[in-house]
Amino acid sequence: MNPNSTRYGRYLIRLLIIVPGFIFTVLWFLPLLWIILTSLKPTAEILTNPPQWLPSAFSLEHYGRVLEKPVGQWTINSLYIAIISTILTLVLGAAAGYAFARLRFFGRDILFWLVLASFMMPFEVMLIPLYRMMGDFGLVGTRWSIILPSVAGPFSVYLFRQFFLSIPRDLEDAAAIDGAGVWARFVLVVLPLSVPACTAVGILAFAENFNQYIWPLIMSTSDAVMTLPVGFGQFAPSLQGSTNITQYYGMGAAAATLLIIPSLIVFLILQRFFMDNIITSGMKG
Amino acid sequence: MSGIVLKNVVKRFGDETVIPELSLSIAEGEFVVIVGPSGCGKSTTLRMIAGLEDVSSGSIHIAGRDVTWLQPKARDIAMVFQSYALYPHMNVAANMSFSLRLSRTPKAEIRERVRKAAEMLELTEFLERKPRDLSGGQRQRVAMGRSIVRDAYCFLFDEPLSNLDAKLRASMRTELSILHKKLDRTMIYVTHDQIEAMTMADRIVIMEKGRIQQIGTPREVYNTPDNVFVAGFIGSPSMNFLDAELVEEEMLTVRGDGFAFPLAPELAARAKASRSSRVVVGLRPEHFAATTTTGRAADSTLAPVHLEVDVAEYIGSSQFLAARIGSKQIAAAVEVGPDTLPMTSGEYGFDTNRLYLFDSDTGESI
Ligand SMILES: Nc1ncnc2c1ncn2[C@@H]1O[C@H](COP(=O)(O)OP(=O)(O)OP(=O)(O)O)[C@@H](O)[C@H]1O
Ligand SMILES: [Mg+2]
Repeated sequence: MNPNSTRYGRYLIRLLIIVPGFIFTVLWFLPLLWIILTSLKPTAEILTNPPQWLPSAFSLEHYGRVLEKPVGQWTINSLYIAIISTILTLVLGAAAGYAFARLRFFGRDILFWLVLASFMMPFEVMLIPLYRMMGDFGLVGTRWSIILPSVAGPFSVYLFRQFFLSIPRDLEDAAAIDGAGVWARFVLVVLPLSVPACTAVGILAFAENFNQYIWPLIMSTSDAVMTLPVGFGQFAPSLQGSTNITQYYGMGAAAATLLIIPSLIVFLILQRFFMDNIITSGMKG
Repeated sequence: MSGIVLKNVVKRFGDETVIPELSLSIAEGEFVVIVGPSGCGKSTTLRMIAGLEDVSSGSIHIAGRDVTWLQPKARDIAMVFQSYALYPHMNVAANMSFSLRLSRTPKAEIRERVRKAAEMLELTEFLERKPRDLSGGQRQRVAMGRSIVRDAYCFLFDEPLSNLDAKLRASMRTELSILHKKLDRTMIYVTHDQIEAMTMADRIVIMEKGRIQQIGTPREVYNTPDNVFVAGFIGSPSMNFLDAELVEEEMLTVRGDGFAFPLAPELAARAKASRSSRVVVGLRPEHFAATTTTGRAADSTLAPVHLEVDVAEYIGSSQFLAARIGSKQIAAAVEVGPDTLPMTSGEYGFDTNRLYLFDSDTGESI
């Protein structure tokens, strides 16, 4: 084949990937952009016909309104809950994932199937039993009532297990020969190689816990426990009466915009730890 | 008893029996080399000794202790893996010192031992590097280093030199032999390489399909192979096998397509006793000669044989011949001196004192 035509072929393939990718990115991004712009519009320009993308002047009035609420306390609550949940999820998920991947014990496979099966269960089904359970523990209305249920998620266990299975067996065998017991192997060899898995689970767990809504809504009975999403949820236009609804659009948009920031920061900090390819570098070939 | 003893060890993976039954006794301080074709169970055997793989039945004793169900770390062994298995997140020095740090060896001693091992393995300049920044050969040397910094009761090596170039391999071979003399530790060494096996081993274990075919010193397995498999496996280039019949002539003779060799008296006696008439004759390439007579014709044991030479390869003082006896392809290596022209078809000699006979049904040596 003529070299030019293969080159065009390659360009064409790249184009076929890039163009749809670009379109989907734009489609995904437009609503986000709309919310951010809405949060900056004067109230009068929020609901216009035809819709108007850019405000005549940028205004921070909605942000001002939102910040009149105890947003600082909500943020602390959210961070507290998200950080502790994330740490516990990492610790328990990695430990359980390792047990499922490498240890041999009675009932392991059945237990693992049960963990997987809990994927299939919608959270709403568990709302009432969970509520009563927290009641029995006397935890209703505390931060721990929000933290504990999220820590037991199957996803991190599953993801860690799959990752650990991909670590060459010989590495752990070599460590065993070098005199490492199960704990030393896990802590000194397996975990340091699991930075990519920890990062992925960490980001997902943080975002999920930070953005939880239904369960904290039920559990937070006071500003002392209330999380950002629940607090900001109060601005949702549909929760308000029919009066003055437009300005709640602005405040809701401002709240939603603020809500993106913490997850974004965590992602930006952690994403550079996403690396692959280092694990097999000690092996032959 | 000290040393390492495997008693009736069986290994199954699911339904597949990889080691049907294996018993092996290795004396303390002995250097044993296990050889055999790929997939015959060499690595599996090492892993069972190391405690990385449970035995399906049987028992393993190390230094007089029954270790069959002990953890690897309780067995006092060091091992070099076929895949190197270096810790990717640690640099070379940390890789080598990992076991010493786990056993809480004093820092100064760790540094000294790592330094010595690195020097011997020519790794000193790489101590700070991560495995991913090393070549295959360097990685393999780090894997060696990781085991020899230790003072284990027994060292297990799974093809530790396979990735090195010829020169480094030869020098590592010597170093290992020296190390073995110095440490006086039991070593079990798996290899595909004839020369490694012959040069380093006190005893060689030849395995096929999970069974031990023969155990013996390099001399024994070369000179008196128990069966066709061992005879073909030990020696390079490998032995030629020809079908033949035992016939009574002036002397008892093996006769086949294109050849007839009178048997030396000792072998003839054994052949008679075995009462088989159909046999397999084994001829090592290096026992062919370019002439049909030695200096003293009277006690010459060279029997004439016609070789139809296809190719003669010049390798200095000898030549490798790809030739035919009758219709059968064989290899021969004849010493002719460096100035000889390529050898051609004609009469050659074979030293009948060094002829091997095997039962054609069982493959056992006669
Ligand atoms: N974990 C396992 N599960 C099932 N079969 C296995 C397992 N490990 C090894 N085997 C099988 O056992 C046999 C022996 O394997 P082993 O690795 O001991 O061979 P080897 O002699 O070391 O070969 P090589 O020279 O290629 O390294 C092979 O047929 C292999 O497929
Ligand atoms: Mg192997």
